Amino acid sequence: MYRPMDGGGEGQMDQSTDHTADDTGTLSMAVHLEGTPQGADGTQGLLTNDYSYVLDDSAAGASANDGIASGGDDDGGHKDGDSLREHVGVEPLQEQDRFLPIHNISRIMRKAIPKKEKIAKDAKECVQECVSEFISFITSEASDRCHQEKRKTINGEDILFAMSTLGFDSYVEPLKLYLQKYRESMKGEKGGMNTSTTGAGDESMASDLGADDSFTANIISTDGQTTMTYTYPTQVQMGQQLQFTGMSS
Amino acid sequence: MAEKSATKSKPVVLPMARIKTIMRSSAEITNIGQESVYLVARATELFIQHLATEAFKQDPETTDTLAYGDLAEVVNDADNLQFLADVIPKKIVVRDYLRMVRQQEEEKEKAKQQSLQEEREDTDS
Repeated sequence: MYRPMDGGGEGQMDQSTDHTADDTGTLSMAVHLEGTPQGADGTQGLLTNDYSYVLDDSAAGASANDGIASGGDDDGGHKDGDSLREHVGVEPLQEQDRFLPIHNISRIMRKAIPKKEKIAKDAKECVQECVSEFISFITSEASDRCHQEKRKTINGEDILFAMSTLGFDSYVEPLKLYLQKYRESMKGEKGGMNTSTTGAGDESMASDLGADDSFTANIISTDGQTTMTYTYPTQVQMGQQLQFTGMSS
Repeated sequence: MAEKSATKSKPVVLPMARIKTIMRSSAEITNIGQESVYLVARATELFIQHLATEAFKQDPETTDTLAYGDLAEVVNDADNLQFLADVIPKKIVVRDYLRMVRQQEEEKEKAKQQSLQEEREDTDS
């Protein structure tokens, strides 16, 4: 993995697994270290985002404060997704989890350039690190906005706003299209198909919808006209209800 | 006529779970909406394509390999990629690096001498 060169390099990229002190994620965690609880053997722990107790590798056997199993080297049997949080207890992020898989990245790269072009290995690894940096960058900008507006969940709008703020506004239009298709496909999976002869603009479907985050499309046919009512259920996090009706004949 | 869903977009090539992990570790947020993970995944795809295309443009016709140096050039030139300046610094030979270090030290020395001089002048007057 690449370590950012801060003038201490030798003009060559060198492989290093050191990712503690200059890891942005770790630094932000370190900021919370006031009165850090001590482990059983006196070692200091690191508080993660959700305040689970993180121990150094050296603190073998010390138990976590809030019951999350940690201690010892845990990189075997690594799982993706939420179950990863249990393993996060060992050290900030395992190297392989800080980055996206290089194979996927190189596939996307190869599609973008002429077929006969080769890609150097260090270029791929470099893009890998850039990508993680990009994700962090966008996310922290979006999360700042969330905090400003006193919200606790990052939604699609925050991401789009962050994009345009950070100079990636050329991405915003394609992303809006993707988002639209995504919402529609979610609707198709979760929503039901109700047919009734009520007129256009019927918004009573809201009562049928559950409290989950799905969008439901109801197609109502009346007199040869097709009315599509898209009803968005109230989302607890967003606290707003969107309804709009489209008509096509 | 009834339509179940509009055209489905092609599946995401990047692992959403991993993206979510990276997002979680980069900001102090309690929750990340599913939509936002999806958008970040798509944006990342666009970003990779963008980097690759730009780097390819930097590549001189003589070589047919996209190399680290091309990426460094791209990051150097683009305004919106300045956040990557530390991630992809341009490679330099040791010789040049040592020369830079020597220059910096000389400048520091000069500045120090200058401030000492000014102090002396102040105390004299």
